[in-house]
Amino acid sequence: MSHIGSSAIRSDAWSKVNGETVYAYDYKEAGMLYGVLLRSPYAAGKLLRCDLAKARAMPGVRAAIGAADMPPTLAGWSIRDTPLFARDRVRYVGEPIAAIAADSLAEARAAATAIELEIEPGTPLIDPEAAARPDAPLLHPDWKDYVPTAGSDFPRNGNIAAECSADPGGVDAIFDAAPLVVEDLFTTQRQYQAYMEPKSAVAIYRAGRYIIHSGHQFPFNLRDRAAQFLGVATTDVRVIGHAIGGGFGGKLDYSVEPHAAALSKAASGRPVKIANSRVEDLATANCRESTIVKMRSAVDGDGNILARDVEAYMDNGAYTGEMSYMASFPFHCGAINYRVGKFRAIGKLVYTNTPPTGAMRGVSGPAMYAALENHMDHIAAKLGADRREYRLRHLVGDGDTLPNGQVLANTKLLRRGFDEIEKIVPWRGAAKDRVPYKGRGLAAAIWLVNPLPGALSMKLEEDGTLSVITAATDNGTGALAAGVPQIIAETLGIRPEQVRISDPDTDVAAWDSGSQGGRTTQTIGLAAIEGANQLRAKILETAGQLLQVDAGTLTIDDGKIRIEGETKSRMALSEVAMAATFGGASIQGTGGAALPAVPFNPGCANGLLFPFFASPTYHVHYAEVEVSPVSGNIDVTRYVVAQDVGRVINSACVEGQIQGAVAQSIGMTLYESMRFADNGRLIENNLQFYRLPLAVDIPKVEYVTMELDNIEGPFGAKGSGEAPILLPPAVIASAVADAIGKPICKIPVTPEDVLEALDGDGF
Amino acid sequence: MSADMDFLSLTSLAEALEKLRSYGADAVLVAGGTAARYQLVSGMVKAKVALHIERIDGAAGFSGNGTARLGALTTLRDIAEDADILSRFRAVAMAAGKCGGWQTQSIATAGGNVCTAAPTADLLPPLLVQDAEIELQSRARGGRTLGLGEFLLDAFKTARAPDEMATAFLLPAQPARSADTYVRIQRRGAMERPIIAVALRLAMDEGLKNVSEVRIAVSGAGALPFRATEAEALMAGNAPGKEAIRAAADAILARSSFRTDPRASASYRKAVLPRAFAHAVSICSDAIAANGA
Amino acid sequence: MTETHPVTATVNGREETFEVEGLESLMDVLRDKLHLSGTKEGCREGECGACTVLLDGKPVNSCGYIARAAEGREIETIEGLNDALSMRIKTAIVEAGGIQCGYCTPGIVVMLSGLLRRHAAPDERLIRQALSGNICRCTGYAQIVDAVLGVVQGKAAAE
Ligand SMILES: Cc1cc2nc3c(=O)[nH]c(=O)nc-3n(C[C@H](O)[C@H](O)[C@H](O)COP(=O)(O)OP(=O)(O)OC[C@H]3O[C@@H](n4cnc5c(N)ncnc54)[C@H](O)[C@@H]3O)c2cc1C
Ligand code: FES
Ligand code: FES
Repeated sequence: MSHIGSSAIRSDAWSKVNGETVYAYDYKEAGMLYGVLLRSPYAAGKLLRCDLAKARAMPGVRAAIGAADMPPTLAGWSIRDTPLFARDRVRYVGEPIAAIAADSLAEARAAATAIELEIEPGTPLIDPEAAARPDAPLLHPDWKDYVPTAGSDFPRNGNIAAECSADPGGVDAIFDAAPLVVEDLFTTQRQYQAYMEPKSAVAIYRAGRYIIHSGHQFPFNLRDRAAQFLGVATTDVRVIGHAIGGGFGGKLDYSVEPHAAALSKAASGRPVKIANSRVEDLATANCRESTIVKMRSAVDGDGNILARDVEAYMDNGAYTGEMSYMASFPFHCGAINYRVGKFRAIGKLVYTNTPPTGAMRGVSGPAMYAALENHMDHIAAKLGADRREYRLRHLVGDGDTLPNGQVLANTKLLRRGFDEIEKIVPWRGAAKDRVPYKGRGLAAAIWLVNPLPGALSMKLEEDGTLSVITAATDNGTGALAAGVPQIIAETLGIRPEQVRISDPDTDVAAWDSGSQGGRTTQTIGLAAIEGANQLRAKILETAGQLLQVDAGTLTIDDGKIRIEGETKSRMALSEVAMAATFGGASIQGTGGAALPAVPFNPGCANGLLFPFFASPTYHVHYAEVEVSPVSGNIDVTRYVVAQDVGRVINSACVEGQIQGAVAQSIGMTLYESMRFADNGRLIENNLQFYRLPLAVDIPKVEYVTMELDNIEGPFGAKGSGEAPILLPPAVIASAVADAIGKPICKIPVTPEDVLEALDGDGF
Repeated sequence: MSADMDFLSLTSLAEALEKLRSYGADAVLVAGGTAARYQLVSGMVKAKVALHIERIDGAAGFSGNGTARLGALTTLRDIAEDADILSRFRAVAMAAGKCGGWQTQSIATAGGNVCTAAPTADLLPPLLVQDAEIELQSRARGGRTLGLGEFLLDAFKTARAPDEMATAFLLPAQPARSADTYVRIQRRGAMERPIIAVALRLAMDEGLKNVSEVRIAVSGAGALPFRATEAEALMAGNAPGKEAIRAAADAILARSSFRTDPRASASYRKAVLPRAFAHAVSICSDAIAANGA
Repeated sequence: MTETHPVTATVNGREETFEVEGLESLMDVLRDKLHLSGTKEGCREGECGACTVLLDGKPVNSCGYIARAAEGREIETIEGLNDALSMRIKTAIVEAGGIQCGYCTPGIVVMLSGLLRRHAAPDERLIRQALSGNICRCTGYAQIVDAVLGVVQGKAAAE
């Protein structure tokens, strides 16, 4: 029986449903102290004084630290621009200034209020476009001295933390001569990952090293970052992972871990736990960035797009993290899906006095596709063309390239996506089909899989089961709880339940690039096949010796060794394992993989830190909405997805990724809002105001998976967790515009927008 | 934080009234505690002792023909699911079912909802349109009843004396050919405080042509929910057509004031209130017509 | 030291006495004093439902419930929900793939046990309404709702 494509039950399901799973937030150590951070109440200002003496003398306090107690080092994923504690200025509301560890949380909190703080408030820069102006005051006057974390420096300048630009020349001339120019401005807000488990860490300074317990998506990245902040060698930090209560990209970089580590050292090695409250977590999370996208197209009489010009501003917040890579996305996604002549693009990542942004599932894709696809609607409307027909007419085909020069293949899946959706809901976009207050939208996307490497090792236990040691993490997707065990089981001839996967530990496991960009099933799956094949060869060799037959005649079936052609098995895997283990060495295997680099044109753009789309996938989404003329509320009444998944490894997990990502993205489109007041304080600062979508708000998504073997994936699989988040803003905005007869050019789309657009008073 | 506050769990009304008499303003009543715990932890309300009345016998339930009696300790979930309340005072049941999630409704009480006197308290508008009275009891003076409008003084302020406990709400029977409803403007399908809410009780004359009486209560348009009496007067005796609705809506707006908060802007509240009101009128008209038919 | 008060309540069928401070929440008592960390902390605001427990059979957010008010009452947490109905709910969610990160799962199971004890055969609308105080950020709810519908239909078929 094949294990591929089944809906095998994930290995952690029962412990989770029984409440037995211990998440990082639940984790405790004997003798543990409670840590809290004192965070900046101002978005900008000079830090004149931070006196910890009174706080240190408070009851129960074991340590109090601030910038003065740390090495004067800066840290960062891509550029070292971030201090652990604010030193002489504060740059966002919520920036850590000091930390306290005490016997109880109440005592730590009381001591934090006793810290004597003097800040001379400054005027915060909140709007990225304003901050990008050459005369804007600098958030980082020392920006020139900042050191890139790896490799060479990249284009940055003052408040522009990173810039990616491409100009083939001659674009203006095409616009000047074009019969039709269509221009749009599309804005999107930040999105909070809102994993249900807030961030936390327990850290211990012991025997000259730091041990960090965390529920982290990328333990090796955390190890790097903590070592940078603490000013120690990378391997002086050990990260041990625990069950993750959701991540969505929010738990890829550091949060409170290095602070807890520094506190533990200051408290003579007592373990210190810092756990964000939800309000703190929301206020300081590395959210998906907000964007301002200006998109123009020059169009000829037949509707062909002769040239496109894209200018995008992306909010970096006060520090950079990995955001410098995202500055590449306005370039990648500004002229994708549909054929465009000449393409000029500039993406500017801008420092502002707001919490640092970061990667959220699908990174900048939802914003860029919303801008692109609604711009396509706008062009079609100008031409009097049907939205679907116009898209199909200009859809990319095999041999077409992405803006980076990467040649596309298998684009038939993109066209097939439109066909699959047509089979489920025939398109009715004509004016005569319009029903008042109802609308529909259709959009497409091409996406990628994060290509970064990962490796693992595995051993055959004496009872014939398998233990896998890896630093890869499962943030809930099932990649390690279901997918990888199924892949190993299929390769080896055992059952998925017989595969056990370790929690990550950077001292023990090989490097892994974290659960990001839909890579785990695909890359760790490939590594697992390599490891399992090694193991298989060794098992058969040992079994061959034991049975005195040629290993080539043997096979493994449901955990037993069989001679090919025979029906009865000859021995159990446990017997082979015992013989090998006590005959000299356990049977072990290792594997590693990364997705192959894709050929692209290195001269295509300047500052292209994220150069290509590895293992491209194709997607089409469709939505129907109904707006209420009473409240302006928007109801998504139908949602359909056609998704390229390569091959389905676990059908329940793939469905979960689609349902969950669409829900999360509907949240971004209709409910979630993250705005900053002029003083830099977050307006939607708790879960009453930051509205997460509920069971009553989300339709059940209809979906088709499009399967086409992917030679770059295990059993043909491709990453499937990210792409379904890309298109809901695009299709829902389009459907609302259809329903109200006016364009929508912002996310979230609110009832206020709808009521404003509706004529009359609703009577 | 009131870490060292006394906490007394009481099981009878007599006991509760006795404790209220001795502690007076030093006591805070805790029913479901869904609002009270927050008020105490945040320091919004200060007290030396909490009197836990959630488990007092006989103070929950809905009873009575004609004038109905709703016990102050009836939980919102019980109200939302009570078939009798649903058929006789629909808006009250609708409002109760929209306060927070089921986890809150399971323990939150009608008395707590009303006595908090929060600007967005959901039971206030539907009780106001029923001209409901609140029954208050004290050890010293026995019982008294008060119109809800008189009971509510301002946001978070009521006419409850420190030694009094609310024990019930009295709802007079609805007239013939009438219907009531609660239109609540909210962003998500649940777990929201209302942005604007309108409770309406509409009664038609015998020919089902003209409004014989209408009662309108609005929340989100002032410090506390209020009865829009001017609008009510404008509609009485007229057919509930577009013009009458528009005139009444203008009268509601005339005495409304709107705030911008993280949930919605003042301009949205202003734009949505007339629409919510008109929608409420059409729901009630349709219901009356359906019953008459 | 802050003053504490002993509270005695039945927790998962067993009488427990624990020391409680002032207005300490039932959630903190369960998680920190009784080491029942299956009751999850997601917000402390009453918004997420991760901390749902049954109090005298009714679903309640333990983060907002004053622990001292639980004196003499019956509390069921996820760790104690092993009755036949709860087992059917858990099995259905496991089999439907209604679990991803799982952080919301205990609260959802507790809520659903409360729902199905009160309403034997809820329709999809009622299920979604009852679940609206439980936020799940991973699943989009579909597979969870399907699981409950399966339990309801299975029960109907069995009767
Ligand atoms: C997550 C969440 C969501 C909520 N959503 C809503 C909502 O949408 N709409 C809404 O209206 N409310 C909402 N609330 C507020 C609150 O839950 C309700 O108002 C609830 O009805 C209060 O009832 P309670 O029994 O819990 O009151 P308690 O918290 O016990 O008491 C509230 C106040 O009333 C007083 N009090 C209680 N009972 C009496 C009595 N019998 N006599 C005199 N005084 C009394 C108390 O002293 C206290 O000051 C929400 C609360 C939470 C936690
Ligand atoms: S932790 Fe109690 S509702 Fe979120
Ligand atoms: S499974 Fe992650 S929040 Fe529900």
